[in-house]
Amino acid sequence: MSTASNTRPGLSGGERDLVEEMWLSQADPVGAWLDVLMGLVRLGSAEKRAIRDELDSHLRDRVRDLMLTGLHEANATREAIAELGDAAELAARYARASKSPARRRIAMNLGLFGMAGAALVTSFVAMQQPSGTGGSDAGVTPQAGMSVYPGVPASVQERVPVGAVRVDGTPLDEVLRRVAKSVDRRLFVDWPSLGELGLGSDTPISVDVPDADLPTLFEAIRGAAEVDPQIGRLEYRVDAKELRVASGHVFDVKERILVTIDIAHVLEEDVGVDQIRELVNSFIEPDGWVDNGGEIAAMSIVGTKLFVKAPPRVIEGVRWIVGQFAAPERARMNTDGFEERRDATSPNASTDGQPDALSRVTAFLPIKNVSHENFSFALQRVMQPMRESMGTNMPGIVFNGSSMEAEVTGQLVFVERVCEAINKMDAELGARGVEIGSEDAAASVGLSAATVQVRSMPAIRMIDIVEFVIREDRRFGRGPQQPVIALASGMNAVVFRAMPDDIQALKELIAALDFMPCGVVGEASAQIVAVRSGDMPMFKRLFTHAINSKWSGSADFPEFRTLRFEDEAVQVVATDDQLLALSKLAAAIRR
Amino acid sequence: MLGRSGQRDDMELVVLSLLAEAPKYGYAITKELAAKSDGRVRLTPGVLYPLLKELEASGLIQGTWDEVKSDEEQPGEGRKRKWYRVTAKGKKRMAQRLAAHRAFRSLIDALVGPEAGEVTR
Repeated sequence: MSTASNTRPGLSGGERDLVEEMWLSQADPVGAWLDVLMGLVRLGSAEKRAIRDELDSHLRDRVRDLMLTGLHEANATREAIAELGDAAELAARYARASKSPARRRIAMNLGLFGMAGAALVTSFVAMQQPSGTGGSDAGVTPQAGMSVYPGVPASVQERVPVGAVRVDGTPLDEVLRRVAKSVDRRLFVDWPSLGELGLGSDTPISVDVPDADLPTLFEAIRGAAEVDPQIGRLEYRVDAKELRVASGHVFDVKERILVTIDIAHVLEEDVGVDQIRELVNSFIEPDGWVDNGGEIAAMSIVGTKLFVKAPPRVIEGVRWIVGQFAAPERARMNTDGFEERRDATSPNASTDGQPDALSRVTAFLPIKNVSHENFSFALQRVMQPMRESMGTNMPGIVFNGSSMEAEVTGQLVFVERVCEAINKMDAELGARGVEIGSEDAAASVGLSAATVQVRSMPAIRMIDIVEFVIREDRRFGRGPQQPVIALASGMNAVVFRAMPDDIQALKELIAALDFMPCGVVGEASAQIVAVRSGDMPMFKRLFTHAINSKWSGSADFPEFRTLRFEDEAVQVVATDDQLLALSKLAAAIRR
Repeated sequence: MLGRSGQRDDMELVVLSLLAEAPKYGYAITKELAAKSDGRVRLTPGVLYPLLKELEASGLIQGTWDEVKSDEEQPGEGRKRKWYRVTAKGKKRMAQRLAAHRAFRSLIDALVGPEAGEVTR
């Protein structure tokens, strides 16, 4: 067994003995030794406090046990501390332990967040914000001054009717096929992810649901499949054409969004950044956070902004935590959507009950035409010039998807300007969508109209790319026959009107662009994409203009490291998914 | 004694296995390991606690704090004790480590034959 003289590195034997005697002579030698160790540990204060508490408990348990074997207290203490080894080495081990692969991943993400954050103005929040006193779903009766986090369901799905379903020991594969057929959707099942839940195509399922809709039926299937909730959850998504079934983890990864949440008011309450992280990491789906070794949620705090990349329900949880630090009472000032958040520290706060130009207010703006998938993206473009001119005065903007409201908080004079811009953006996007989405209007000039749902990106981003192709590609008609594309009202879709041939070509192009995978990381290797020489200029421009910027802007995809355009081929280092996507794109632009 | 480099995976498996039986705090882990191995295996606290921190950071185990207080101490005055339990992810990792360990053991057995006195069925 080692001796206590090993507990200080870089010291001569005599010096070590002296240091050892110093802490052993203290009234509380364990505490004194822990002080020495804490001086060597290079971690945050919360982590250091936790390490100290844990080792303190260990040492006192150990000293007690050693004394029970007959050792005198001083010797028992000396022995217990010696067992912990060299203090500096222990500190170094703790530092290494804190740099788990997960931490390294978040460090990488932070770099990307930093870049995105400069341009990112605001965020989206999917679910309804809990009120100050919350609901009682959790079985807790709210008390005065107490707020109960009501939780958010794992997913909110459309109640598509299925009818009566009765199966007895039927293989899961067949059950899902029957369900897809009865709701008239194409079925996509991610069997590998279901395999991780212990489910296979031949897993027998017995359910008897007399009049089911999809949520009810899948709840019954989950019950019959008996998946351990600790392992995961069988999930599904349905849209107009497809029924997709996979593990909840797969959807969580795919549906992550990057948002910012203003935490200025939290920091003003003397709550530290570490405390915010700890609260969130501990209470909102702890296993999912990158900080805790999870994969579905990551956060970073920069200045007064909390950047979170996570599924919407997790983001709502974070927002609830942050919301707990808000002033308990916010007086509504008038009925046009403005509300004053009283700020006693502001020298400009109004004293006559009316907000002056610089007092902080919150405005709630109804959004009529922009779906939440598009809101952040549209806002980035609209707000960027305002952000440059306003700097730190730029109000915080949060979009509540469930109430279709934008919440704008800041100084009145700036909030008014931002609200005006958002209103204008909403009106313009809505007007364009309605006008060209009309099939009658299109037919009156010999054109066809079509609506295509977009899944992999905000529809407004898709419009950007397609408009670029329409401008650059002579294949499409000119003058009044040139295709026009716009945002569909209230959904993440594009509408366009064009000649019938152009409609088909645009649909293929959108399908190829929409296929571009996101949220899946794979091994990248050298690949070759065949592109006809005549198509190469367009492919090259499209690639540079749209595709590479999309992928390089994603935390999940590294920018293509090697890219070489040749006569009839593109050499690129890409994942298999990226290769497939590029091949589809090459086919879509083929003349 | 466990704790030398190259044995990290074994340490992880040992700790996860002990915690899979029931939640434990650090000192209890060292004592139980020593008891189960008749004192032949000791996990030094200087290795154990950073390992626990690493496993927690990786989401394989989850720690919760409890207060330990004597009769004389008032609530809030006692020292804290951190209990660990294995997460779902930890159970999965444990199964992987166990499978790898068994595969390796089978390989060695196949190469050098079973230990003297061991009966092969």
